Amino acid sequence: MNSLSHRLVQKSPVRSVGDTPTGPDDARDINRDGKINNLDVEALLTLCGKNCPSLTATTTSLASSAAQVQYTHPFTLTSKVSGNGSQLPTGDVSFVVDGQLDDIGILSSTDQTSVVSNSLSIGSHTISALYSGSLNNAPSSSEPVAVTVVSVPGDVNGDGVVNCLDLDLVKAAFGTKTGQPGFNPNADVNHDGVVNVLDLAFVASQLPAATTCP
Amino acid sequence: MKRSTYKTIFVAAVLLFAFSGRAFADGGAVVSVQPTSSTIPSGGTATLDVDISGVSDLYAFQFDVLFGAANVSATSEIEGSLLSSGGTTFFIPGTIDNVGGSVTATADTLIGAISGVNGSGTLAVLEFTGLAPGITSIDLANVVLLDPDFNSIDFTIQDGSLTVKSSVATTPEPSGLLMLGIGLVGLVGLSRRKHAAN
Repeated sequence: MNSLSHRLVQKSPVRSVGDTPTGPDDARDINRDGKINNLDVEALLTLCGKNCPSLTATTTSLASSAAQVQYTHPFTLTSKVSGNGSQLPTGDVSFVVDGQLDDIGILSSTDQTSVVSNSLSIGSHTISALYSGSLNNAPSSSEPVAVTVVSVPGDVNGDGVVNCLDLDLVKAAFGTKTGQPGFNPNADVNHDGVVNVLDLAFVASQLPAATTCP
Repeated sequence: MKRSTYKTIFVAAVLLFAFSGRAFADGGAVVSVQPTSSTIPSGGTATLDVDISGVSDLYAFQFDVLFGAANVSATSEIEGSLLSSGGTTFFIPGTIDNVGGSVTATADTLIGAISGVNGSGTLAVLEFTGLAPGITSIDLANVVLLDPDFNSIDFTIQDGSLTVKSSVATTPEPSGLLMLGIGLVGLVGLSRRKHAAN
């Protein structure tokens, strides 16, 4: 083992994601941003990756239960870490959404881990899984997976549910057109440029029958 | 009566029936102002219904009402009874503009994934106050009827009218009646004199 590899293995961020650097010279803070996080693990991968001496190379895969989910509705991310050594991969897998750590799963005996998410904002997201490695297995990261979160039909205020508050917003903007005072593009559910009975009826139809809205 | 006369009457009757019942012949709904014509004194109030007849599977509706602001002013609007007979509803009363003469964007919808209502009934009830004497039409505009799948329902419109009459009494005043009576008595007196002289 050369000196660089020795330093990376002995003082790598692999098993200390989330720790605070002991000082400016803490080797685990590879990118010197004052944090020991996945960015340091990625930096480690860049430096030695699967070829880190004395570590078994691993492969991390990631799958989402859905490529498109409704806002606030749960979906499952499953990551599997494969190695070819006698020691099965153990440890944590970080799920990184748009470059930010979202959740951490612990590898099971089947070398995989799953997390459930329902907190992503509306829009497209890039998610990747990052295996932080163990004493015998090198860290690895998955290919990115795209997940698009769409709004719940009829959810005018974007709180993830359709209720009387959404009808109130349609009522407040009722009769207005694009560009007019009071026009609410979210209340224009069918995006035809006017808030009218088509929008009102659609939102109302998404509520449970017999709901009473004051 | 000649045979040709019978023929003419028959054809006229058929045409009259065909035109008066056009909406029913088409099988569509009729949205109307009821009563079709009303008369109120200046300062008095009139309650007009926006009714519908012959409708199938009505889930939601929208309409405007236009009127002559010089003759009447709209004072209120409440939900009719037809749609709420099919379930809970969400009613939006129209915006009253007594300068331009309109009640715009009245709307109502059933709530939930349920069937619409059928038949005839009242969609909304409006109240007007008479202002200056005259006749104004009560017109329906921008009418939209939807079924539970948000498809448009065909319809025809029957507008209405409101006549505002002066609230000043047209009966003669007591003093006028007295003068008329005196005049009549005088005429009778003159007539008797003439007879006596003859």
